[in-house]
Amino acid sequence: MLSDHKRLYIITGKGGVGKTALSLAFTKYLRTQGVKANYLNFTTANLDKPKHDIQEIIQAKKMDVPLTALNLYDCASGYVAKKLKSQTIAKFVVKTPFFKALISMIPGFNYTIYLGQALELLKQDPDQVFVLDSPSSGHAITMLEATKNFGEIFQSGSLFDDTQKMLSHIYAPGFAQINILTLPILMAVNEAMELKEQLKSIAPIDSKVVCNNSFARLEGATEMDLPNFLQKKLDTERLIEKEYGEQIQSFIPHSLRNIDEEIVNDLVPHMGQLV
Amino acid sequence: MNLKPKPFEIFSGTGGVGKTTLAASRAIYLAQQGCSVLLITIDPAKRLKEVLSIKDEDAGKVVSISDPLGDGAKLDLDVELMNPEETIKRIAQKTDSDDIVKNRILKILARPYGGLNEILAIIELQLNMDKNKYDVIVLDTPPGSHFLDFLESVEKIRTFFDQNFVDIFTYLGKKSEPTKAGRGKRFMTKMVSSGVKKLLDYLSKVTGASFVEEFLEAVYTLYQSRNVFLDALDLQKGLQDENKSTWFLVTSVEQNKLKEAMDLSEGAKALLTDKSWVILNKCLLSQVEQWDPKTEKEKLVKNSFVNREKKHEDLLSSKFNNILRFSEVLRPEPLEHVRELVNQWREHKLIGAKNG
Repeated sequence: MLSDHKRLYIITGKGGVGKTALSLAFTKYLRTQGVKANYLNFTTANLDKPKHDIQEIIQAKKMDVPLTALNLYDCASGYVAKKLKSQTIAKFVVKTPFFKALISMIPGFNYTIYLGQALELLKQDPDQVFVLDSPSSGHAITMLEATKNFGEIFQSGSLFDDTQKMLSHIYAPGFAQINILTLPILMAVNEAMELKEQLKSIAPIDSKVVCNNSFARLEGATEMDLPNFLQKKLDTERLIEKEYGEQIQSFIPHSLRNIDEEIVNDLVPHMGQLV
Repeated sequence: MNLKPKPFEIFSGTGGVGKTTLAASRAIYLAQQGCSVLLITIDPAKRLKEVLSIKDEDAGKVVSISDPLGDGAKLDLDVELMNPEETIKRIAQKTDSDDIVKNRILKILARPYGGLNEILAIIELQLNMDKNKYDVIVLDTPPGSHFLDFLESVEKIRTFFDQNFVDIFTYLGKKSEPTKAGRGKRFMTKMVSSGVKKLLDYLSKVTGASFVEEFLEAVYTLYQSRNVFLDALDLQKGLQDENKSTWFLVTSVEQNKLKEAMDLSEGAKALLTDKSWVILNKCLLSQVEQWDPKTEKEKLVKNSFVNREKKHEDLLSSKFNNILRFSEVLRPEPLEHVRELVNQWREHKLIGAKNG
């Protein structure tokens, strides 16, 4: 059983780098190590979309990956109810068009609500671990910035206190880790490095840069007699390793599979590097 | 194949890695064809910024770059790196009131990661269109966002200014006091009957004393600038009008992209015309097919690449009439990368405005 692990893993990176497949694989890996990990996804941010409709959730269910799906209304009204000590009023408040308009206009607000709920669940169950497949728009920064921003907006009072509690909770040593996912392309790796720097300046959380889809790490790839374009791919990857090797904590091999479930299963044995 | 002259070209898609560079190379190509072009980009990597000679301190400003590829060209090409704060300043200029710039809450929300990016991008597009200066505006949509999110942001503006609010504000507009405090109070009184009171009561209990006042000011200020926001609603129609806009939905043959391609096609059918283009980026098939693998392992690699691309190809051709293929560019330097993509645009002979 894995003992030295974090409670919250935030998987971030630009769209198309493979966050969902990797988050699912990582959750599966943690389970094999006896860790009570669940896949967590905030794309449910769209209020009107029923949660069973969401692609990532369908995928998690199909692969039997333990899943925590949050619903924005429930999270928000649960929170408000606790504050007001009334379920009825809370339900009424979150159903007003005003509240609806507010959260759709300011998407950062949603992230704060979700993150608050996720932290609450982690507090309730000390064994629980979450692998958060974070939204690609604006990376994990939007999520962490939003919490900070709302703290500033509220200035004082118990909402302010709660945002501060959330931040100190996430920033507690050993609690969370951000895995920045990228691809073995020079520009993508550059972006990941920039993101790491930005994150460092706003949030004291450990972060790792993980390079997905590495052709060079495919078993036997370097011994093959490759055509020109694949040789070029390998050269680019070597260049990246030379220039950034020390800053990239892990390389995940390219998968030769073409079906989602098989790709995820292919990834699982390599997920130890992400802990 | 020629495209009729259209004022907007919008690049959207979940690709992330590739979309911004494709939009930049498209803008350069159109400028090479003699068009006057503005490229609005949101979050390019540092090295792409270098190619486009945009500095972070220029964010929010329109910068002219006549020779992005360093080949001595004199292009009519402007680039703007979007900055939400600057967009808000422009809204203030347009509405002759700097309330929107001064409000503390709006200031925080207008930070680069404050979450208003998509809405402000639409407004930025509108404000630039009003200048009547460009043949084409090429827009790179916010990172990671799907074109659905982008179009939905217009819907969000509508929800925000929905009838409930309009009633309150119309009432306030008639009766509002010259002093801000008075306005806030009156606003509160009206809120009582609209069912918002409970929420505000709650907020005043759990936040700083000045929050509710500032918050109401923020909402009121947004409402004062509503014409700018509501103009953007008309823009949505333009964006969905095939005579005004060309959409490029970018996807790539990278693994795990099939489901996204499906989503793309369903969304496109509902919201866009069948004249929109799908870009299948990072194609390798023409090169892979020339490879004659010897070992079993090599055959496996080849088959995997071939099957992956064919699957995307089949799916997209069954759903879209217009597919553009871009070959994977394996040049590591961004300048070479962009130059290579400009060449690929030239091969596609897809001309936008003017020379069409």
